Amino acid sequence: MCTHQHNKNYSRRDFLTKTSLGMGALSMASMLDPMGLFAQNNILQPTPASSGGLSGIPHFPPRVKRVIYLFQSGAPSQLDLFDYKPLLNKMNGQDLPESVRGGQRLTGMTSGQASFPLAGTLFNFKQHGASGAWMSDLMPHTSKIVDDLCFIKSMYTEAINHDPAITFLQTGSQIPGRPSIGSWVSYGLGTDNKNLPEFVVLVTKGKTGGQPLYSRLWGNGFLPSQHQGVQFRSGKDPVLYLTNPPGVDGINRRDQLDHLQKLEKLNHQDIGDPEIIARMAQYEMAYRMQTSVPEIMDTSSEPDYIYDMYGEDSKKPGTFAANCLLARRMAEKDVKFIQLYHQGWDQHGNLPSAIKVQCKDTDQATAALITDLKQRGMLEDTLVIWGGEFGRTNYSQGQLTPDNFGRDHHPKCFTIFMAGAGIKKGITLGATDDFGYNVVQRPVHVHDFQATLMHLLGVDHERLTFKFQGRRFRLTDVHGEVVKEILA
Amino acid sequence: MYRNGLQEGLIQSNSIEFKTLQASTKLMFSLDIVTFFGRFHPLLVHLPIGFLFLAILIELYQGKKVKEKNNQIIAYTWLLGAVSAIIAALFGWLLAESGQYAEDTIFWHRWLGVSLAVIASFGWWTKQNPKQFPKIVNNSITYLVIGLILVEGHLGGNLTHGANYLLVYAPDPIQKLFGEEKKKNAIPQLESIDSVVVYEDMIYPIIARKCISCHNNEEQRGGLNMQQIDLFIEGGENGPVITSGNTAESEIFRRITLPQENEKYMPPNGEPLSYDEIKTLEWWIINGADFEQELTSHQVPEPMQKVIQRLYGLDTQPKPWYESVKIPAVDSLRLKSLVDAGFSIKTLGYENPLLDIKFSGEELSLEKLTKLEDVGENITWLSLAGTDIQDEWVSIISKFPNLTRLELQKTVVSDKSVEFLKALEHLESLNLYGTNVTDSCLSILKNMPQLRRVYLWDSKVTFEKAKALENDKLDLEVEIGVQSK
Repeated sequence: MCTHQHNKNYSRRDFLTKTSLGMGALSMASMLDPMGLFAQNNILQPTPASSGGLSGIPHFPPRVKRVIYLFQSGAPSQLDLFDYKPLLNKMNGQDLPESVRGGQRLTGMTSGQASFPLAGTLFNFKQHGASGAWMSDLMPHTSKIVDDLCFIKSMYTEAINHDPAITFLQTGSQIPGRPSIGSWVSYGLGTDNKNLPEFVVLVTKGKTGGQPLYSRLWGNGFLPSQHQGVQFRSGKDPVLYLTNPPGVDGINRRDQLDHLQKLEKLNHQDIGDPEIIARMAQYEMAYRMQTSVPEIMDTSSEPDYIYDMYGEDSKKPGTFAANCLLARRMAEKDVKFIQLYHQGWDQHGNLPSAIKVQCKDTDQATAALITDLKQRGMLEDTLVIWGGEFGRTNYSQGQLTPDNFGRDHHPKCFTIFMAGAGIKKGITLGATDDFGYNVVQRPVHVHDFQATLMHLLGVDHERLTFKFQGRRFRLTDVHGEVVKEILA
Repeated sequence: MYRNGLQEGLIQSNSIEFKTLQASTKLMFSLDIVTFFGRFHPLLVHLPIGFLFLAILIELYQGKKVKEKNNQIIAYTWLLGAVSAIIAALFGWLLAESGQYAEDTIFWHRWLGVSLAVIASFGWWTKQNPKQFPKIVNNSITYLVIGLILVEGHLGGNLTHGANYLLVYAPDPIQKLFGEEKKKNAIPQLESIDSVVVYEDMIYPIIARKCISCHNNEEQRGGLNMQQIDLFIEGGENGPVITSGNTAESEIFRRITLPQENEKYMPPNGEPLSYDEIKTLEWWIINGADFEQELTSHQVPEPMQKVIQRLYGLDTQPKPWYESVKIPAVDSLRLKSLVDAGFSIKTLGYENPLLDIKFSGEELSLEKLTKLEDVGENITWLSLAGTDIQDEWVSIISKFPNLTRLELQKTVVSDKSVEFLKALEHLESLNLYGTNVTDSCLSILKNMPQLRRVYLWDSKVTFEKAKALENDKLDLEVEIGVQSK
């Protein structure tokens, strides 16, 4: 009997399952194509042969081939950016009625507060574009492109603190250990460009204040490890340990890899651990990335007017604007899932001044990215998502003064927006009550959002599963319904 | 009366209509009283039921030991039953006059009710001195009254609560026992958009549900027969009821959208037309009230898509061409040489025969491009962005009949290529940014029937001409991008 998982090549049960399936597939193939069975190098499915995804995926024609997810870590205040609630200004300073809160739990940061004074926004709201979307004047650039955007104002989540909430949004579970969305996409759909990873992560540099980010957010969980997100850094070494050490040239490196390949093959034949294959795939990818990464990170060929579009920050490596520009370049090279993180939205105090800084960092580049993708015809098959992990409260954390307040975590509603392929343009889905506290129209759960994202990529979220520890797991667990209203 | 004011407000613009309405308001005033009293019928009917059953129960309790005193009590109870049955029948008659119930549905309830009143009176007469009558007469009156009350009560219940009220929550076997007639009247659900004839499959089922009972081959109220298309077109006593393309001039539409109190309102009894049904009729009339047209020849506007989805369970959202093509899938062996030539190939989905092809090799040549001809019919998305493609080579691409998305950006192609591409009748999206195309290609783009999006940024097309094309062809998005200074 096989006792150790790594020593297990094939059990009797595996053998029977696999051979009977194999024979079935073989006879199926010969029925479909009687001559092909004896031909050499027979490709049964074009997908796995060229890109490494799962056969049978996409389940249906994809609307989106790649995703750029601009994650706003810390949770931006929907009430000061998108969700216009004049009632809060009218009732500014009055206590949040208990009937509105309805017993909703509070974080430890405000549960001791004697009162919950409603805090109206200090920023002007206007309607923009033909679609009449409400935006505060914090985001002048994004306001200009609202007719290309799809707002969901009725997002809600289950977690109330950053770590579980961001883990929930990225992996479908509040408890760490599941694969990130990008890993699922990489696992299911494979690559469109063998020289770059399918899943790339870019984190804005120098924004460490507030909530930390950790690599498990773009981790592969129990999926094979080549599907984890690869973080590209600003500076000399975009991907750590990618360059050859001093004294080693490309030919040496190739030789070394070829020999290692042979040894590891023997190793794999011996113990059959799938991680051996995963690691070799990563070695090979790293080798190819030695040329492809410097090429993509070198933005010197971009004309000045493109830099002007993304804003002056875009010339400073590591800023959100520079990362947006890189994201576009990666999308052009068919990287499937490009995840940006921008920290610093966790405004428990001093919200009015802090949010201005955040918007200045992100607004222009976000709008530029969408405009740039649009003019290149890339919104045809690229989806851009902008949003955080939850919303912020309608009452002030700490003292409310005429020109200052803070907002605590609020899971019961928040706003995200999307632009690009497969979704309607210039629409707003869902609504919150007049207090901006509860969702009153078309609630969209995090799992619904994830299901919709997978649907756009041509994947049925219920059918992309991975068996681990005796159970088939999926991104949306046992939940999630595609939000059909926003599909174009 | 507030109702007068309301109606005046509604129809001030039409003086003829106003007069008829005033007349009908007068009539309705008396009708209101009738209806007011009539509505006590459901209350009053419980009295005869109670009294008559009580009488029968007392008789049963007393059994054979007949006493004079007891007989008086029984007779008195029968009297109460008979009198209340007469009153109930009278009020029932009033209620029926209010016109809220179709004659064919209340016929039996009406006359059984009258019979019950008569028989109960006769019962009172016999029970005063039962010994005068043979036992069989006494007994049969009792049983007849029990039977009549049960049947009559059930019919009345059906009228008030609807015919399926009693059984709708019954366990399945019981429902089956009483026959499943309830689906008969529902609007048939449509499976697929193909070969749906708008009138036959969508409009007629509504008419059959709401109009045909009074406008059929046997009975033509107002001289209108809606069962036959030619007679329907001919119209009623006052001429045609449909004016194609104009709902305001179509009598049928005017009638179904009048206030329900109006005596001209259709249907005069039974369930009114639902919002979705009215919307569907409106859409059909506006689109020419054609009796032959198929659904596929219509562009269903978005709000109507939702109505049709609700009413017929049919998804009319136009499917992209690449989801509706039905051709055999490519034998994967044939793709091998393409992969070797540098093409990345993906299928659009597990069950979709079409291919998404991108050139990702080193150098594109005419020879390599020609290889695509082998699977030309199956290519729907093709990207040759940033390749060395030449204008002349594009003639190969123009032979791919199912091409819907073509990416030629960042190549040297010019207007000549666009000339070739006009043969692609399903092309939906064309990317020409960073190419040498000029303003003169715009007139060709304008005439491409399915083209919805074209990308011309960083080409030689001028901003003004691009915007002019967009204004000319409203279903085409022309993306000209930011201008480099």
